[in-house]
Amino acid sequence: MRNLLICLLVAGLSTTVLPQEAFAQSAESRAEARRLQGELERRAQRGAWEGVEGTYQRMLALNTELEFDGHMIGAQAAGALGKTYERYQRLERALAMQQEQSIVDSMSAIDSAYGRVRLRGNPRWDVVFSRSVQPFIPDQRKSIEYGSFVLAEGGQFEGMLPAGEYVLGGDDTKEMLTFTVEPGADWQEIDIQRGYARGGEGIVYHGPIATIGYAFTASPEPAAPVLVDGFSGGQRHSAQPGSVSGSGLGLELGWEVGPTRLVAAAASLSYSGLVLGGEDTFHMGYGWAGVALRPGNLRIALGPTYGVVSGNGTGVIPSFDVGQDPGRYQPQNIGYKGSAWAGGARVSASYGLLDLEPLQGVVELGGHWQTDGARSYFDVGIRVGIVPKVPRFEG
Amino acid sequence: MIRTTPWLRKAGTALGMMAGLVLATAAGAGTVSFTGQGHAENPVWSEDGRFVAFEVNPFGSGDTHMFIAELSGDISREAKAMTLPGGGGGFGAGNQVAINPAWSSQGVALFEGSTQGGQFRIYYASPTGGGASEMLSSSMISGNVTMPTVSPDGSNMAFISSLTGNGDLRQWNSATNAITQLTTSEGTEMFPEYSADGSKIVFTRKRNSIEAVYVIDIATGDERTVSSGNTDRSRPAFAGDRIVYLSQRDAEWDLVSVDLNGQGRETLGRNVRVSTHGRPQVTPDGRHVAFASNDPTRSSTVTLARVDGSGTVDIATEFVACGEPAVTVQGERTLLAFTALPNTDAAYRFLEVIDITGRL
Repeated sequence: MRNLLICLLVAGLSTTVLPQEAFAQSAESRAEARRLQGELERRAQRGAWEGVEGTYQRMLALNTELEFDGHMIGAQAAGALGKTYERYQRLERALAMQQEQSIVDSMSAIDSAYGRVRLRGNPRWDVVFSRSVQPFIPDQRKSIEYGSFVLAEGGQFEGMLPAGEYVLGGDDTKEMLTFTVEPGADWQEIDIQRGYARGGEGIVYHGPIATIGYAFTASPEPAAPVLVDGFSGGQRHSAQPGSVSGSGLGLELGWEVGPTRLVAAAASLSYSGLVLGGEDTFHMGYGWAGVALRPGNLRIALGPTYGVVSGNGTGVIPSFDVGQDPGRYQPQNIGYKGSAWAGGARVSASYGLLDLEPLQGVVELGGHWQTDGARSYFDVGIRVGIVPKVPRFEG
Repeated sequence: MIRTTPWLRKAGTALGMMAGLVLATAAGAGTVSFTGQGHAENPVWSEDGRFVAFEVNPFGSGDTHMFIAELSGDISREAKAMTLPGGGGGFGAGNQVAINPAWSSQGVALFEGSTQGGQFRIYYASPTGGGASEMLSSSMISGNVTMPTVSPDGSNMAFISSLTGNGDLRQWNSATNAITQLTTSEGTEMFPEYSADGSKIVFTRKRNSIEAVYVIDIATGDERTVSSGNTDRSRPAFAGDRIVYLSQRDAEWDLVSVDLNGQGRETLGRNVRVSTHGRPQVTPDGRHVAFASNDPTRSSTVTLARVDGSGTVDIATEFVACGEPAVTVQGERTLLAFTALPNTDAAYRFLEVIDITGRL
């Protein structure tokens, strides 16, 4: 609807005040459609059906005018991933564009071997679903695999399953139900009971987090003099280091627990630090606890931190010991050594590139800020490492 | 694409030939038509007798195509070409090779195929259309996988794998999705087929250039020789409590049967015509095996021999060079499919189906 409104708005503007912009947008849209069509075909040639599926979905979402071949490729991808109902729908779309007996034959073959089912349950239930006798045909096996995963992931399923006898629930559930999928165009409705679910609403996955990489750490000097309690009851200037920055090592070790496949809780201990030259050092160690969002291969983690900062070096802020003879006490030559407790927040985004079942190899970009009340500490970095892999149907 | 049918080819031949065609059609399903030109070869019936899968070999192009025809009543619908993924459905050089059809009890056709000169893999297809798909992915087993055959209950599929380089017999189980290697010999295994109870597989092994027939018990792995000698024994098939196979004698092949221990040899036919890929086809009840002869005086005859050697039934046709006969039962009817030439000058063999109900 939103896209429709935008199209109508663009159409209206094109006849009034913004013909050039509208033209540009239309050309851009056409160019994007061509790009996606090319991507669809290239991925199909490689047999990268997950990729094809993603591109096809994107084309649908963008309201791209799909051609006959696009729908046929989309149908092939859906078939390869076990999404038989989606395959059927795409064949229907292709048939509406071009009457071909082979498409009618394919749809007829699906109708004769598959039934339409709605398994209604609670999205939070991990429903156990199986078939007593596995079918011989790989397409049908894949279709059951897909249906089983969707049920386990979301507690319900709507689509096509191969005709035959199925079981909801199993040895590790309270109840079991046997039902038969009949081939044909009629939808079968089946209510899923809580008893068919496995282990309630517990943990879907969990595992370690470990990353290592480059960190740029910085702590600018405070904008105002920092006063601390003096020895004789008054206040004195703190020997705050001047601006500190540099490159060093970043590390993180932790654990992630996912009650769902999309949102998880995680906690970790991190370190970032640097050697500034000579004996000067600067270290930050902190604990983090927060939320990890896991859409697809992406992992976005954010949450508060609390930790300790320690520094040992030379060069304090100019406001230190104001009034003393700067010739004798030059701030840049004054040493400092100490530590401070600081709190803040950290956000990171990582992308899974390697399947290391049950883990996932990731590359991560992260940023962290914290303050001890007097000054701020930052670190940003790029790391590689492992995170737990979220169990998902991969076709 | 040139569309020709055996009907049209036969229309240009002698009038007597046309009469023969009419007779054949009136008695059964008639000639199976398909798009393209080539020799029809190696027909194999589905279990319910509704469909017949066969190869079409244009010769010269390097291609071989797989077709499936539906036989409904007295009508043989035009056969559909099975298109391999990445291959074309039409006739074109270097396009695809699809051979050795088999059927599962679920009514799915299986065959081995290769596109663009690549590896042979096992494909399956619904006889009602929709294109072929790969049965075993490369991640399950790589290399050439050929000669699929399905156990009668549909739970297992045996095939030959080139994974070890020698051609070993392996079995895929549909319940576990696991593949088991059944033989580990240095010879090359070929032509596997399940027994009626699915517990055994008969196959041949070629070693030192000689092919012999063996049976393996799947559960125990025990293997025994059914027939071996100084000449080849090939294309074995279970026939009730016996095994039939082709036995080479000089430059000719005889069709023989033995019991499961290789004893009680009976010669069922001499100088029989050998299919390019197929094995002798046994009737569904396991009591008869069909063959055709290389003898020119019997080239119009298809013979059905009792596997115990107790008798034969000759089916006379109006064609010549009959070969590769296969019998099925479709409801109350018994149908015979065979390849033949309409006359000695014809360019291509065609596939004919006739009703032989009551002849056995």
